[in-house]
This record gives sequence, structure tokens and C-alpha cells, in this order.
Amino acid sequence: MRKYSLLILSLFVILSCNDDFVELFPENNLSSGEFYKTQQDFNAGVIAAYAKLQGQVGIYFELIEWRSDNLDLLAPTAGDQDRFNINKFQETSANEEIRNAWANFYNGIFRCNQVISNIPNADFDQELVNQYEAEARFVRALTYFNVVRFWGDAPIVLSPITQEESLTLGRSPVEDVYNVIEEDLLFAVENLPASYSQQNVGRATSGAARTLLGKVYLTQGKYEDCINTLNQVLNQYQLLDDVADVFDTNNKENQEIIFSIRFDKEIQGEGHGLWFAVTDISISPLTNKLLSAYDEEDNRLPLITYQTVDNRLAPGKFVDEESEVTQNFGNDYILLRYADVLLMYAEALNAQGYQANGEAFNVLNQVRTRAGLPAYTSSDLQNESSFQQAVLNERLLEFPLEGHRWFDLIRTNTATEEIQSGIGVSIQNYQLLYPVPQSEIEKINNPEIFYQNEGY
Amino acid sequence: MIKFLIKMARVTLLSIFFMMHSNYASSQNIKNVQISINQQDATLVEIFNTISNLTNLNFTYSNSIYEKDEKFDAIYKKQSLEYVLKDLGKLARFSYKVVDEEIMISKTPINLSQNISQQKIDINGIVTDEFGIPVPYVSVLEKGTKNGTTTNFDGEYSIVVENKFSVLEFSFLGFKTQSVQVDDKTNINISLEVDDITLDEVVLVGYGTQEQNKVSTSISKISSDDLQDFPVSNFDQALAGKMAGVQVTQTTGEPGRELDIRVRGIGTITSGVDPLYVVDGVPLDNALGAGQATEVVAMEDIESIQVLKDAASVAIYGSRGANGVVLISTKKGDTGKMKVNFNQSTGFQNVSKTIDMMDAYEYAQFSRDGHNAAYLQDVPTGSPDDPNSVRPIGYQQIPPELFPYLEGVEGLTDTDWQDEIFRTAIIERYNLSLSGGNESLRYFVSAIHSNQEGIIINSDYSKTGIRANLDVTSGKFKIGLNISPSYTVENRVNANGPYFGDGIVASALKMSPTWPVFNPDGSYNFDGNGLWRIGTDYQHNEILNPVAVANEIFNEIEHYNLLTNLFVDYEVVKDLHLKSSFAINYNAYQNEFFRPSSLQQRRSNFYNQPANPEGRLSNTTIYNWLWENTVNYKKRFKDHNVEFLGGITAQKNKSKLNRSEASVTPDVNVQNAIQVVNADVLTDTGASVNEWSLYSLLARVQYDYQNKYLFTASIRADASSRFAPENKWGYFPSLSAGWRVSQESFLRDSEFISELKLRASYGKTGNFSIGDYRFLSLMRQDNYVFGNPRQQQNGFRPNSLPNNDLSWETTEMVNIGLDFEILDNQIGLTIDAYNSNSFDLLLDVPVPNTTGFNRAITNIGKVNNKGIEVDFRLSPELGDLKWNSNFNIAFNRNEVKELGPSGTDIIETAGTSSAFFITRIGESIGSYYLLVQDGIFANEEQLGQYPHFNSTKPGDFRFVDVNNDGFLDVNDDRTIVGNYAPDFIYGFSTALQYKGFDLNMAFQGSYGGEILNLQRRYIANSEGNFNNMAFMVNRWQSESNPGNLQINRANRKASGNNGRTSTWHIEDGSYLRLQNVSLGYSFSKSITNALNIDKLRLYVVGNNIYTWSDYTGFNPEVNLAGGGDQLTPGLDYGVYPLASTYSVGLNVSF
Repeated sequence: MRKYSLLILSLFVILSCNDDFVELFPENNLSSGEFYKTQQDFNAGVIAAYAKLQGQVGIYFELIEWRSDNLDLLAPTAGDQDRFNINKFQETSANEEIRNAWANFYNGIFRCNQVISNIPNADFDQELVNQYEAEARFVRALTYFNVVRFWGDAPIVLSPITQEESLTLGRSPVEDVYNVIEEDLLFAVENLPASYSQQNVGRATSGAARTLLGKVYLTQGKYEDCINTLNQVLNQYQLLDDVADVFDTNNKENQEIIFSIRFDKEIQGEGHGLWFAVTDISISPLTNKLLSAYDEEDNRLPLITYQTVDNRLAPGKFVDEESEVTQNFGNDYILLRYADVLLMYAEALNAQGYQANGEAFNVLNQVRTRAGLPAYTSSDLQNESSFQQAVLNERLLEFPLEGHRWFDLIRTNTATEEIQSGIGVSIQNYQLLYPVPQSEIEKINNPEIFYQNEGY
Repeated sequence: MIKFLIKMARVTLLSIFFMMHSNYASSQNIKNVQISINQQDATLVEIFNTISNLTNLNFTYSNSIYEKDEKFDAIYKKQSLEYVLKDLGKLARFSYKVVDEEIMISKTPINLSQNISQQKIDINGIVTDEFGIPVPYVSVLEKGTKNGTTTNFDGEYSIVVENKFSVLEFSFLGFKTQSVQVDDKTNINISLEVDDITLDEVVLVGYGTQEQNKVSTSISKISSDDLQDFPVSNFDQALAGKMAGVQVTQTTGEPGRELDIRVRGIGTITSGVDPLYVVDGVPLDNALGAGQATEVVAMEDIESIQVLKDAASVAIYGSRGANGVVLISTKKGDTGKMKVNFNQSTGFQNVSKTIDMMDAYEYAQFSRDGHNAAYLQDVPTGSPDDPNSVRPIGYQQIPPELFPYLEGVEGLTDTDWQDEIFRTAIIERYNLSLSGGNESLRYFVSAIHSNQEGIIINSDYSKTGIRANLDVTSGKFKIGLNISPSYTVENRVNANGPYFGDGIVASALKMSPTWPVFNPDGSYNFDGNGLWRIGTDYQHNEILNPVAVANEIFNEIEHYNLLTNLFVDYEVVKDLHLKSSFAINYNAYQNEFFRPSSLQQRRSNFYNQPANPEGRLSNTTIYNWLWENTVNYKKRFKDHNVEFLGGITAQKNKSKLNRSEASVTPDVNVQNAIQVVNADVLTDTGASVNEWSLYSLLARVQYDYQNKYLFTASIRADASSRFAPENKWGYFPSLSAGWRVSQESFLRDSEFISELKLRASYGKTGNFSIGDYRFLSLMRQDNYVFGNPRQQQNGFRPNSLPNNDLSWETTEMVNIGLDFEILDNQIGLTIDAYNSNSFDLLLDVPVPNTTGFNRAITNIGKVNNKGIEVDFRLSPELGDLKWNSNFNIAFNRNEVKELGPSGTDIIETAGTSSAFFITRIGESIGSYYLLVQDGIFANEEQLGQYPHFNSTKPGDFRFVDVNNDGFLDVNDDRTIVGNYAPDFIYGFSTALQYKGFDLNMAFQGSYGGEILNLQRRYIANSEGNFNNMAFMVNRWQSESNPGNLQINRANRKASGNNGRTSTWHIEDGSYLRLQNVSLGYSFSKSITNALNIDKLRLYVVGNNIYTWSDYTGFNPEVNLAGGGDQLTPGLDYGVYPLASTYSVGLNVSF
């Protein structure tokens, strides 16, 4: 009898060993706790950070191009109301496009932070470790740079935070955000390679980091830092002879491009729709101001002129052939290219002091003559302000639909008059910043730390 | 005369018998002479003569001393003559004396008492229970006297009785009273038997049983008797309306589909709502719901079904109990010879309701009106009589195929599409069981086969299963094994889908009756699929021929289900049991779907084109094991009864799914899904694996004092893989108490009140149907392209915020109850009232984006359910007529209390983008949130008097300006207009038995719920592009002919938001259904004996016979969103209608 008792009691003992029994992890997916261990994990984490940029092309369109004097939406149609409101400076803090942008950027920052905060545990080739961290910090800096220019003061998140922490996280002053951006980019400049092997072409390079850092300095009016930084990019890239080649989808790896958001229409999920497509030329949203800014001989005009793509029309720089496999298009979205470096460099030099026919004229004219226009001389641009005006105008002609114009207007403090002349809307100073999404304000519900921008 | 003949015959027979068995007798052997005699209603003289004739002994007596007429019965079998004479002598007051061969009978009785001891007798002994354990305090009484005593602590007693004829009576509560005659004994040991009446009333309470009268929680029970005669495939239909607070709804008539069972309302917003099903002690995976339980247990094999309703009874199931627990126990063998039971029934089913639609002529006029209105709306200068040729746009024109109908030509095609898809369907059912056993082995084995055709063509369901329940007893060991493999195969048709997704019912209702089913050459007619869109686009929506859809698509689901449970019970010492049981449940579902090229794709660009054949194969296997070790101990101390249960259990579930899908071009010759999948690259494949585990500790104490004051306390601790690391363990305590007032001395002897019990309970339970791995932040792929040439690079990022606190949802429920039985249980009443708060409900709440995400899953919502349940029973004793009736009614109120941190409404749509459901604090979960339609504007004048939409014209709907701001707005003027949840549900059942006849009847009803009948978006849309319900002929036609003022004008281009979802689509879902009527006849003993069987019963039965309801759809129980999404309940988009079934059946047992 006793032996049976022992036998049965031992069943209870066996069953009481339950340590791992209630710890089950999915086979369908890894969980974040098990991830970020190997080199492949970190590489995949960095790739996901880049992948987020693909979804941001729409934000460049909605919040930069539609906000600027490049585009004019005549009347809202179904689904266009939020875009219309942004275009006409009538948006409220409930605007979905603005909310989407906020959510998208902070998810992008989250992806970068996952890599950056786990990287101290990485145990593989230190150079690669540094490169991955630098790539993540480059993407993070790019994202914060957009955030701070859209909204001004912004919450700074540099590592993954919990729900509770997020409820007490307020908006930090603009300077603090720029400090983060500069630190990230300085790290990226130090640790990113100048170029990659064929398999890795397209990752952020030290040149991309310098270019972006130069833009960050320029935006803050740190002209000397800007010049010193961009100086190291000069002659690292080159202007293509024909500006149309820059956008040729068969010439994506060209020498002018410093950093672009990359697509491939033949791979499922890596293509996109036809950008700025219309079905009828009469509903082209390009403003007359933009179209009439071009001289007839300007070879950049065809890049914004609507051309036929199958049964639709698209601006020249976004023309592509539809993939038969995915029914998608495959243009890259170029964020940084050498013409931008030259024009920023010219702008910074000029801001440091006008110099008749100096280096600033030299770099500005590289862009201008490439477009088939005559070079400026100091008789055309006789002082600092006319030179600055010329740079701004050159940027208008060079970069429409490339996600620069609205920021250019703010940086050069010309938004009020340019918007007035472009789409006939008179704007208030507070409208240089977007409203913070109302939903975020409600979630945190603490106006002391998380406040709405003035005027909204 | 006849009586005389019978008597003579008896005597004759007896004579022969005696001649064979008696022999010469003398005084010496009067004790040895054995005789048998069966002589009734005879005088002594007759009896003496008979004995004399057969024994050769002479009787000497005097005639005068006996009353001639006094008759006696002399019935003895193989008794000694001495015994016969003594016995007769007692009756007839004579004595006898044997002298030589003579027996002298004298009138004066001999004094028999001289043989009896006059001395008092000392008796002692010991009283034990059936297991030999001494029972103290047993009352020992000399019957008919006041002489008595009780047993001591060791069960011993001693008593002095009058004489050996004294009778001792032993009684003790809970045991049968026993009487013993003293005779010559001085030591009388008694083994008391447990009172069987008590045993019958045992209920299952989870990991054990409890006597019904000691239950202080809320449990509903139905037994095997309530489950007989259901001519249906699965047992769940038999539960409808039987238990208060248990809502059983049949949302679809698809053969083999399980019903929805909901216990006491809904206490969760996003998680599972199905109760936990426990079959013979094995809790099944909640995710499989009732479907698995109904398939693995045959109706005939069920001993009882119980529903644990309050949290106190459920708490022993811990984190799985919040939706209630359904305990199913199957039959076991009894000791004794083998019993064979055979049941067979065969019947037919018909659709229980069809919807009255317009015929072809009505439809033609209706469609014409719609096109005319659209024309006049665009061209106000036009006239309804203008020919098509002057109407600029297709939808303004009238399809020429309608002209003959409009001209009234007789005998044109007029298809009743419902007639074409419905049929009279056969249902049959066979069940054979064998049971029996001896002291060491008991068995119950059975086999079931059922076959059910669906009432929609090409649908059916068949089931085959066997069961073996074996119990082995060996010394202190008891070993049990239950095995029940089953196999079902189901041919499904897409009855519940929308018309644009191959939905058969929806298509049949909407299809124009002007189209024939078949072309003259016998092929399917597909004119509904775009003839009126090609060329001139009349804008009649394309609908596939539903007969073709039903017949051509092959969609088969096979389900293999094996539930096995093995246990060993070891009694360590008296009443201390250790039990270990191990169960395995294996389920495999296989689906094969094939859509051939002969069934064209819907839409006009595929009109009369062969389709690309599509094939899909998928299979899911689910493996679940359970190991339970429990210890159980029972003890009685004087008036205190205590029972303790403790246990450790572990359960793990793993499911695997894989799926492949392909399509090929029509020129590839394929006949089935396998050929399609093999013929081409797969267009879609997928696989997934999910696991959960649950480790639990449980304990329960049941205590009562004198079976009068009752207490039960239990606790369960659950740890599950589904719970986050910081919240791994959940604790679920319960407490309940009862007071049997009827056991108090002041009521104990009441002849009126037979039972009066007050109950109160509190318990905490959980809902762990929250999905697997929810607390984890899982890595999801997001790829990018690098390199020259470009290569896709795999990126991974977390797809959600981890939640290290994520846990079960918790429900706390308080229940008070009353059980009341009067007049010897002829009338019974049970009332329960409960208040249940479910909190920590899982919601996807908004979080600041700085976390990386918009939303995070959080335990935060709160829902309250409170209700009252009344169950009234009547079983009067009426002699040969046996009558049992039960009426129950349950009221439940559901109210959302908290929703996330900000309490924001959850607004969802389902079915169509304007069908809004709101979950708002203070309201029921998933209420309809719509515009209020209130008749029509009959004329311009009325239009001027009330706010309306800009496009509203006379004949269009009048919507209520809910916010009273003088403007109508599609968002601002929405309001809560109803909810699927009924105000109360009720049931009535009655059973009559008289002689061999039995009659059973059951009703079920529901009151106060609403249904969102989105089917009306099509068949009451008044546009003329779909066929409409017949009542739409009473529509507004003109200001002078405004119809019944409720129905909007026909207009192909509906104006005034007529087509927007509103209360026009909301209908009252109240109903009363005659669920079941059966009439049976059991043949009398004389016939069954002749056939050498125990029982033979024939019956006829009808199921789902009639439903009283104002609902215009097929079935007021419809709930298309079903159990999956309680945020959008009560949707009807066209469903598989219910069948009315009539069967005849046969039960035989021997």
C-alpha cells in the first residue's frame, strides 16, 4: 500500500516542476526580447529603420509640397479634405495627414532606438557594430530634423519607453532637439563608410551624414559649421550633365545622388504608385507661379511637365514604366543630391558675406549652367540679399516635388510673401509650424509639458 | 362461468403437479412432506380435500364448526406440510394433531405461545456504513415502543428487547432506515446503506460532485431524459429554452453548425465569449467552442449536462470560467446483465420560413418606377412615358426584357428563386449502445451514425462516432478509460455570404424573377450576371445564378476528433482518494474547396466567360493534453460533514495550420482542388503554429452542519503562457453559503414545505481567451531594397508595444438564490439574482506615439451584467398521469462601465460603412448607432415642415432631427437605436405521460432584442436593381397615391439618404418558438415480454415547428458577426435559414 502512495505522491511532485511550462514563445514570429542578438538581427533592425522611410514619401508630399507654393488644390474632392486644408492653411489639430506624419516619425524613431539601445550588447565585428549604430542614428536624425521643422518643440525619445513613461514625456525645446540631431549626425559622420560594396549600395554614407548635417547647420544659421561640413562633400559627388538623367529610373545609382529612399517595382511590396498622377491635364495641381518661373530653355521644365504614363499623366521626374508583375512604379525618392549641396554651400557662403563673383557664384552657377541657363555674375546679383533671392529661386526651379520648398521658405523667412504670391493665401506667423495632433494632446492630457503650438 | 372454468383448470393443473411431487406421508414425516399448492379463494374444506387427495392423509373435522363461506388463499411452494398447516391454522384459527394417518382439526387453537421464550433478550452489535466504517449516533429503536438508544463513537450499541419477535429499527440521516427482527440472535451487526434518494440528486461541481441539496451556488442541470427524441445532429439544440439564464441561439441552419451558448450576458469586449466545455472532466480548448464538444459527444451518450452559472461554482475553473462552464458527463455501465439500447429515427426537413418576395410582374413595375424616378430626377422636363431612346443615360432607361411583363403578357418566366435553392431534406440517425458489468468491470460502449441533408441543395453533414467508457475496480484501485473517436464530413454551401461573394441565399432573394434557372439547352442561365449591364448599362447589379453557385462549388470539411481520458483512483485509507488522470484531445480539420471554370466569375466583364478554376486546401490540427492529480478526503464528525479537494493540473494545447491556394486558366483541365494546387504555382500559402499552456493549483472545502448550514470555499491559482511575466499567476477564490430553512425544527415536519433553501455566493473568475502571445512584442517583417542590382533585404521590427502586465480578464460575481419546493416537491421554484462586474478587460487603447505606437493592448475596460433568473417547476402527482412542467425566464442587463483611460466611445462598422455600432459607457456593448427613419414625406407640404437632407423629395424617408438643431447631419443625428441583447429570454417545457403514451413540448422565447437586418439594404432598397420584398408594393407612388406612408418611392438613384443605414434596417428580434414536440408510445409489458425485450417505444417528433415573430428575415436568432465580435452583434446579411424537422423514431432496449 505504501509503495502505491509513494508512486502517486511522486506524480504530484513531477507535476509541480513547472518552471518552463508556462513560458511559451511563438514559432510564427520572434519576439523583440529574443531579437537584437546577432549581426543578422541588427542588420534586419537597421533595414526596418530604412524601410520606414518608404512610407514617409507621402509625408514629404503632403506636409512639404502641398504646404508650399508649388501646388494648389483648387477644390477638395472625396478623401482630399485634409490635404486641401493643409494647402489652404486651414488645417486643425485633428488633421489626419498631420497625425499620420507624427505617428509615422515616432514609429521610425522607435525602430532606430531599438537598434541603438540594444547595440551595446552586440558582439561582432566592431566596425560593423559602429556602422549599424551610425546608420540608425542617421535615420533618427533625419526623422527628428523633420519633426523639429514641422512642429518645433518635440518630445525626445532616445531609447524604447514604456506606456507609463510616455505619459509623462513632454516637448523639449527646439535647441535640445537640434543637439540630439547634431550628436547623431556627428556620430554618423565618424562611423559611416564613405561607400559600400555592390550588395550594400544605398545605405547611408558618411557623405550623406555630412550633407544632412550641413543642412541642419544651415537651417540653424550656423553658417560656418555648414561650410566646414559641406566642404568635405564637395567634389565627392558630381552633377550629371543632363539633369533628366538624375531621375532616370534606369540610372538610379548615379553620381549626383547622395541619399535616396529606395524602391524596386519588380519586387512585391517594394514599389509604389504613380506619384502626382492625374487623369486630366486640366487638373494639374502645379501652380502657375511655379510653371511660369522657368525660362523656356530651362531643361528642368520637362521634369515637372506632365507626361503620359499609360492612361494617366505624371510629372516628368516621376515618369516610369509600370511593372507587369506588380503593377507598381519604381522611382527612388531622392532626399539628398549634389545640386542641393552646391546650393546650400552657396547660401551659407553668401550668408557669411557677399563676395562679388566669389566661390558662392561659382557653385550656384554650376547648378544653373547645368540647367542650360546663363551663369550669374555680380552684375546680376549685386548684393547679399539679391544673391540669396537667386539661390532660393534656383532651389525652386531645381527641386520642385522633392520635399524642400516649404522648409526653404521657412529657413529664408519668405513663406508669407511666397505663399501669398503662389496660391493667394495670406498666412500668419504661427502657421510656420504645424499644430501638434490633438489626439496626442488628449492622450497625455498635461498641457504643462505637452502643449499645443501657439495659434492653434 | 368463466371464473369457474379457470378455477377448475387450476385445480386440475395443481393436481397433476402434486401427483408428481408428493408421496406417502405419515405423522412421522409430516415435517418431511413437501407440498406445493396454489389454491385461491377456497374454503378450508376444499383445501383439506386437495391436500388429502395428494398426500393420502385424511382430515377429521366437524363441518359445523366452520363458516361455510369463509374463503382462504392457500399458496405455498415446496413447503413442509407442517408449515402449511401451522400457517393455515393461524389464518383460520384451528389447531391440528396427527393421529396415525389422520389429521385431526380442532376449532380451539392450541396455545402457540408456549413455544416462545418469555424472557427479555440482551442484544448488542455494531453499526457500520457500506465501507465497514463504524457510524456513531445511529438511532436504535425497538419498533412500536419507546425503548431506544444510539450507537457510541465506535458504532456500538446494546439494548434489551421484549422478546424474539421484537423488531429493531436503525436510522440515521442520509442512510436508509433498516429494520431487523430479533429472532434467536443476540448480536446484530448492521451495515447501513446510503439513501438512494440522495444519491440521485448528485450534481457535478467540477473536480467532484455534491449532493443537490447541499449546493449553495447557481447550477442548472438537464439530464438524459430531456435529451431524447431530438431529430437533430447535435445535442446543443436540445438545450434551447431549458435552463434559466443560459441563452442558446441557433444563428444559422447550416447542418452541423454549433449553436451559440451564452451564460448570463456578455462580460467582455474583445475576448472570447464561449463558455468552457468540460467533457467527463476534461476541459476542452475554448477556441474550438461548442463545435468540438457537440461533435465528440453523441446526444444518446449523455448522462447529464450542467451549466455552472455563478462565479462561485465556476471559480474552480479559474481563468477559464468567466463565460460560465458547461459540464457534460457521459453514461457509465451498471453492474448486471448487458443492456442493449437501440435508437433510430428518420425524418425530413423543410425550410422553416421563406421571405415573401415580389413576383416577376410586380418586380417589372417596381423596376420601371425606379428607372422613371431616376430619369425625372435628372431630366425634370421629361415624362415617365418617354421612350428609352430619348433618355440619355442607361440607368434612366427600362430594360426591354421587362416590356412584356409591363404589358401583362401571361405565362412569362417567373422564377421563385427560394423554391429553387431550398429542398425537402432527409435526416436520419442511428445509435446502438451496450452496457453492463460486474463488481470489477463496468462498460458502456456505443456507436452513432447520423446523416443530415441540408435544406439548401448540395449541403449535408454526416457524423460517425464510437465511444467506450470502461471502469475497472481492483481492490483499492479504480481505473477508468473513456475513448471517443468521431469523424464528421460536411459539404458546405456559402449560404451566409453577400451576393457579391457567392452567397446563395442573398443571391436567391435579390435575383430578378424574370430569369430562368436553366437555358433551353439545359445549361445554367447567367443572364443575371450582367445582361443588363452590357451595351446599355441599366445598372442592375450582377448576381450569379444561386442554383449554379450551390451546385458547382465543392467545399468539404472533414473533422477527426479523438478525446481520450485515462484515470487511476487509489484509496489510500478509507475516504482518502488520490487520483491521477491524463487526457488527450486530438482534432484535425481538413478543408477542400474547388470552384470550377463552369461557374463564371461575377460581374459583367465575366458574363458568359469561363472562370479561372480555383482550388484551396487547408488543414488544422490541434493537439491538447491534460494531466490532473487530485486528492480528495471526506470525513464526518458527529453532525459535521467535511470534504476536501486539492489538485495540481497541467494542460497544453498546440495548433498547427497550413493552407495552399491556387488558380489556373480555364483551358487547364482540372476537376478538383488537388489538381488545381498541383497544376500551377501557388498564389497563396500560409502556415502558423500556436501554443498555450496552463498550470494550476486548486483546493476546495465543502462543509455542512447537519445538512442544514452549508459552506463551500474554493480557490484556484492559474499560471498560463498567455499571461505576461509580471502577471503570471492569477488567483480565483470563491465562497458560498446556504441555509436549508426546511431542515430547521420548525419546518422539518411541515407537510406543505418540502424544501426551502437560501443561497449566497461570491466568486472571482477569469477569461483567458485573450489569444496567444499577446503580451509579447513580436517581430514583423518590413523589407527594403539595397545593392546594385537591387536585392530585397529582410528587415524586422517589433509590431507592438510589449505589455509585461498583460493578463486575464477578471469577473467578480455575487449571486443570491432561493430554492423552494412545496407539497412533496410537486411545485418547485428557484430564483437567482446576480451582479457581475467584469474588469481588466482587454482593450486596444490609444497611447502616445512616442512609444512607437498609436495603440497598445491593455487590461482596462469594465462591464457590468446584472440579472434575475426564475425557474418554476410543476410535477403534480396525478396517479397514472405523470406531468412535469418547467417555466424559466431570465432578465439580464449589460452595461459598459469603463473604456480605456479617456472613456472614448468605440464606434465600429460591420457589413457596410454606414452600419455603425457603438460601445459607450452606460450602454450595452455593441449598440446600434444610426439615423432614425420615421416614415416618409408624403408631399411637398410635409417636406417644408421638417428638417431634411438637401436631396430629399416627396416619397423619400423622413429622418428624425435627433439633436434638434434644425439640420439633418448623417453623423450628428445618429443615436442609439437598439441592441441585439434581449431584455429577457424565457422557455417553457412540459412532459405528459399516461400509460404507454408520452408527450413532450418545449418553447423558447426572447423579448426586446433588435436585429440589424442589412439584407434590407438590398431587398427593401426601393431602387429596382434587386428584387424586393413583396410588401414594398405599398410604396409611395405619387402625392395622391402615397402608399402606406412608410415605404419610400422607387428610385434607381436613391435620394435623401434613403439608402443609408438607419432604423429602416432595424427590426424587433423578439420571438417565441415552438421548439420541439414529441409524441411517443411504449408498448406494454405483455408485448415486450412476449418479444423478450425490456422496452419498445415508437415516437413522432417535430423540431423547430413554428416561430411567432415580426421579424421579416429568416431567423430572429441571426447573429452573423457571431461569437467572434461582440462589438458588432446581431447582423443579418442573409443566412442559412433554419429547418423544420419531422421524424419518426424507434427505441428498443433489452
